[in-house]
Amino acid sequence: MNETPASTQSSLQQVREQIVALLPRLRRFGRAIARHPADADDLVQISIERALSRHEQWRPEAPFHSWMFGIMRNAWIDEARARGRHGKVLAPEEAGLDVPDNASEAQLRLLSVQRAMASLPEEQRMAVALVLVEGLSYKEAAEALDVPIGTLTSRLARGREALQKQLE
Amino acid sequence: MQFSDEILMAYADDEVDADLRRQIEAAMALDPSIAERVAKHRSLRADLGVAFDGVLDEPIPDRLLEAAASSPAKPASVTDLKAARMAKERAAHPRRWSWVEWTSIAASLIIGILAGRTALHPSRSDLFATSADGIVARGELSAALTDQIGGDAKDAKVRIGLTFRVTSGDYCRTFVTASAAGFACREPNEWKVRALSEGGSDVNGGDYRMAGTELPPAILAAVEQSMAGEALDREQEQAARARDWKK
Repeated sequence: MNETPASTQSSLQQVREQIVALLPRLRRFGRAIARHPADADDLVQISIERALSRHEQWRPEAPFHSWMFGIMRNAWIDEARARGRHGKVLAPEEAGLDVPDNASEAQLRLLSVQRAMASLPEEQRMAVALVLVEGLSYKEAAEALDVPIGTLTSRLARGREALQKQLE
Repeated sequence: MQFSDEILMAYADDEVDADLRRQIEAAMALDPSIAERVAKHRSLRADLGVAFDGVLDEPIPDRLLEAAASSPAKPASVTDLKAARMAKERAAHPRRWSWVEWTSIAASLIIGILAGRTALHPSRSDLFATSADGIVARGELSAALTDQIGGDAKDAKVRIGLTFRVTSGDYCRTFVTASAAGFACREPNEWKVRALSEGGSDVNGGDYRMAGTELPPAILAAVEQSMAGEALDREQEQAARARDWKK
């Protein structure tokens, strides 16, 4: 409450700097949850705008990436809802996942992992993306998703089982 | 020794304590099937890394760098006003705040935006008085509107929240009392109540008090409709108070 304009300014500056440092990971998280590269970057852009307009809500004692991934998660839910395609977002045939004719075995594996990920229910995909792709601790991921740790681990376990089943 | 899949996943994710880790590692040494299950969890993580790490090496699109360098959007919509209000609330009360609370508060209030009527029986209230053309603040409400800086008096009988200006240039301030919430605007000699909603501190005292300075959605919407520009920050409030809220 007692923030002066000067400290507001520096918190904005801090948030900016951390966003820039985190950009490659924000894009990776975007790809993991939105799948289509253009959708993923749109999501990152919207989230950056939201983060800057709410920079005063960030508390330095909380890890910045948890806060930022939480904003991305909310933005994604809002976007998906607005576009009326919540859940299974894009069909695997859509652009970004075309299988090249001369795909190597490694490329095929990569594509099948992306597809399996895309087929997960939203909540499980978020949990898997945060912990297994982004490497957040359970505690950080639960904070970003705003759920108790038990909920996070159960979504993670179900997501993992579904992925393993599809990739066998 | 048997371990659930969830425990082995937690081990693969480096989320178990040292004791459990030793037990699992001992079991893995004795039972290759346990080691195999752990390896499966680890290889899934590696697969996911291969599938999504590629983007880390791609150049960052200019539009994202520009977005990071741009000025923050100004709070203009109801949603943003709520967000700004929530940020203020969070700073004041570190406790978490949720939509469930909003709903229960809204349900506990008999919302009535006044159009010159006397839903709160101002004649029987020591905070409101009826005048020829509406309701004006009196007593402690009038004093708080004149003297309090928003968010400062968390335990006071009257708590002031946002201060903003309307198109006429008049200053208006939101307030919450034990039984009502609303906003009032400064006129030459008095604070005229422009929106008021009845709150039952006797009906749902605990919850309502806990949410303290929070405003009912109907009031928030009325504020949003009336406000011209942005809410005042602390220093602007102090400056306006020093000028006795004159335009």
